[in-house]
Amino acid sequence: MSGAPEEFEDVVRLFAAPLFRYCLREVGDPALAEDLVQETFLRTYRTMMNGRPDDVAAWLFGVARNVCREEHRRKPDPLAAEPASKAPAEHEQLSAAMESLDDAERSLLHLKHAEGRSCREIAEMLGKPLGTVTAALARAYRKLRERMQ
Amino acid sequence: MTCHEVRGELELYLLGESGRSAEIQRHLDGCAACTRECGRAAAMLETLDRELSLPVAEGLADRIVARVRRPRRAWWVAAAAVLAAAAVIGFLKPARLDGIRATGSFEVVSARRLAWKAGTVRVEVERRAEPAVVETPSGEIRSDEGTFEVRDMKTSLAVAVLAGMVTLAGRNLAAGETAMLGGEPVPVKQEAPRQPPPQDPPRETPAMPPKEPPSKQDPPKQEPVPPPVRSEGLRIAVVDLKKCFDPQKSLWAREFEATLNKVIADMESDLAALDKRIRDLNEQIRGIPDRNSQLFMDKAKDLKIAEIQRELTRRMNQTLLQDRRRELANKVYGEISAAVSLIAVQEGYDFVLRMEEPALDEAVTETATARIVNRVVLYAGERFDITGRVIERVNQSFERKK
Repeated sequence: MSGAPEEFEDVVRLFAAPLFRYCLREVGDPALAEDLVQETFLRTYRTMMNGRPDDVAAWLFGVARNVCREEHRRKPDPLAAEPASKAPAEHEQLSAAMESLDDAERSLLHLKHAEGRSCREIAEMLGKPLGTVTAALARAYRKLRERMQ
Repeated sequence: MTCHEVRGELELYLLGESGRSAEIQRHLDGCAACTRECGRAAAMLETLDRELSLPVAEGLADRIVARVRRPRRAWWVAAAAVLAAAAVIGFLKPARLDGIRATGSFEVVSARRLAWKAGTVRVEVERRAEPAVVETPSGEIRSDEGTFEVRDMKTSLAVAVLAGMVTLAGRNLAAGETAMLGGEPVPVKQEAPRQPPPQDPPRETPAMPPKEPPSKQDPPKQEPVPPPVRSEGLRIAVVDLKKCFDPQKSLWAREFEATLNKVIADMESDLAALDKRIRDLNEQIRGIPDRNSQLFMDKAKDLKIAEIQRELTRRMNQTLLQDRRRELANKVYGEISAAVSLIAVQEGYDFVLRMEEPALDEAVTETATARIVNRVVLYAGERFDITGRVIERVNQSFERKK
C-alpha cells in the first residue's frame, strides 16, 4: 500500500466486517463493537498512510485485540462484557483457545469462518502464497483442537 | 501418509481445502483413531462457524469510512482551535473527535461519544451520520447538530442548549431551553421567561463559563437555577411488551409462533432430504471396489457437491429464519403499537412506557446486558399497567383481520 487514502478505504471495506465480528464477540454490544472497529482504524490510519504492513490482517486484529482489552479494563463490569454467543461455556472455551493463537492465526480463522472465505480468497486478500495461508491455517486448527480437547 | 500428517490436515480436508484429500480419505478408511480425531475436528469447525459468524449491520464499512477518513482533517482543525482557545478558557482538552468540538473536563469514549467528568463541558456538534453522545452519571445527552453546555449542579446536571437541538432522556430541547438531568427533583417555582437563543455566541465568551475556584475577595455566587419542567397532571401508563408477545395470551403472537415453526419444519425437511442423499451416496461409494474407477470418482464428486449443498442450505436457512423472525416480530409489534396508541388516545394517557423489551432480534439483542440496558421502567404500580387491555385489543384486531 502506497498510503493513498483510497487504498486505506479499500482496507477498511475489506476488514470492517471481520473486525466488527471479532469485536462483537469480545464485547457483546453491536454499537460498542462498531465504535471499537472505528477506534482500530483510527489508530492504524497514520501507519497505513506510510505504507501497508506485511500482514495487514494480523496487524489489524492485533490492534483490535488491544482496543477490546482496553475496553474491558475501562468497563470491568462483567455484564458489559457479556459475549454475543448464546452458549457461554462453549464461548469461553473457544475464547481461551483462541487466546493461545497469534494474531495472524486468529485473523485467518476469522476470515475463514466469520467471513466464509476460501483459502485462495484469503491468500489473494492478504497478498500471500496459497501454500503459506493453508499451512498457517492448518497450524491454527491443530493448536485450537489441542487446546479444546 | 502417517497419522501425524493426516491429523495436521484434518480441518483442511473437511473444508475441501486440502491438496491431499484422496490420501487422507484412504488413511481414514483404515485408521479408527484418526477417524475419531476427524470427528473432533468436524465438531470444532462447527463451533467455529457458529461462534464466529455473527451478523453485521448494513452499511458498516460506509459508516466507518465516513467516520475515519473525513474526521481526520476535522481533528487537526479542531485540535488547533482548541489549543488556541485554551489560554482564554483555562482548561481545555484537545481530543480526536468526529465533528465535535468539546471543551472542559471529559473523557473521549469514541469519536462520537464523550464521558462527562466534572465542572462545565461545552460541546459543539456538527451533523454526521451518528449523533454525538455525552455520557453522564445521570444519563445520556444526544445531539445531531447543535451547541450545548453540561454543568455540574452538585446533585444533578444542568443542560443548556445554545443552538440546534439536544435530546435529554428522550426529551427534545431546542435552542434557549435548559433542563436538569438526574439528582433531586427541582422544586416547582414560577416559570422563568424563556430566553431567546443567543445569536452565534462567541467561542471566547461562552454563555456558561467553566467553574473557576472563587477568589477570597469575591463572595460565592449563587448558581442560577434553570426553569423547572412542569409535569403535574400527566397521565402515565405502562405496557409489558413481553406479555404482549406471549403466544399463550396474544393471538398474533400465537400465529407468529406457528408460522415460524412451519418455516423451521420446512427447513429441517430440506436438510433431512440432503442428509439422506449424502447417506445414500456414502453407501454407494462404499459398494464400489475400485477406487480409481470413473464411477467412484463421479460418486465422490456428487458426494462433495451434496455436502456443500447441505452446508449452504444450512447457512442460508439460518439467515432466512432470522429475517423471517424479524419480519414477523415487526408485524406483531405494529399491531401492539397501534393498540397502545388507540388506548392512549381514548383513555387520555400522555405517556405509555415500555416495561420489557421483547426479543425482536435474538441473535443480537437477547443477552442479559441488552435486556437490562433496554429496560425503561423498573417499577410501576398495577393500576398503571394497561397490558391486559392492549392484549385484548390486539386480539380483537386479529379476529377482525383474520
